[in-house]
Amino acid sequence: MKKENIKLIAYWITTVLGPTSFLIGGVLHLMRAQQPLVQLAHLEYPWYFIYIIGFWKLAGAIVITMPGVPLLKEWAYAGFFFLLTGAAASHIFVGDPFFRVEAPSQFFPPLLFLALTIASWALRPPSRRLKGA
Amino acid sequence: MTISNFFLFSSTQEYDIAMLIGRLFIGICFIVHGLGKLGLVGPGTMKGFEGWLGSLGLPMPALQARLAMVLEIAGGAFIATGFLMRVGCLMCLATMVVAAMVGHKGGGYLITNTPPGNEYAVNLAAICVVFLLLGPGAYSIDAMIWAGL
Repeated sequence: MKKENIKLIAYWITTVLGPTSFLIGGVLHLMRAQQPLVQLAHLEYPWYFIYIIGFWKLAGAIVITMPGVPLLKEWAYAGFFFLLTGAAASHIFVGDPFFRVEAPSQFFPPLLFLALTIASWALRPPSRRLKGA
Repeated sequence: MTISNFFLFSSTQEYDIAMLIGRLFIGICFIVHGLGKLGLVGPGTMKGFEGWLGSLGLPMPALQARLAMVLEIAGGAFIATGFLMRVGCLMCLATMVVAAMVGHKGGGYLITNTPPGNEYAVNLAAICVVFLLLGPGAYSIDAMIWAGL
């Protein structure tokens, strides 16, 4: 298999598991599902954060997954970078452990999704890059 | 731990680890078989697989061959990573039911028969059903996504 093909497959695996999967989180947030509500309360964020985070997760997931719009994609990747580092920091500030089997209350997941998001960004093919980037 | 606990029960952690081991082995098995149909591993090729399906009298062999390949690779990846794991189980289950009922028709049960029997496909289908019932466990992408991150 050619190196380019391997890179493209790695791009799609990291993109689907990372940024695209935020479609689920975005919808769960906007639906005010039980799990994100508990999570946000645990992190001591106000209730309306569920709509702010849900809206931007959904928008970012769509922008990164759809073809074209390379400049918007950079914004979306940056947004997820702030979201995920912010989530990890929030867990650390309230004293959550690195990993615990009984989710939520841990800061390993945001770091894992951060790694997937950064990998997706680094592997993005030329058709999804800004000219000159 | 009492002696009856050892014989009767398992803890949540044991369940989570069991699911991780099972998912990795079975998921990778499906991925490898899907890649085999693409001709990327082993002696098989897409053309050969397509021709074999056609010789079995399956309608639209070109489409069915590609569908089976995609379902095995994506379904296997879903099972192994624990991302939409139950969807992955359904995808792989579908391919194994067709394989057992059509692909190994007339072969009986034992894989050592000529033509080979369907035991391998049947057992993989059974494992898919077991996984479908058990769910992905804590060491999975699903456990993180659906928990609200």
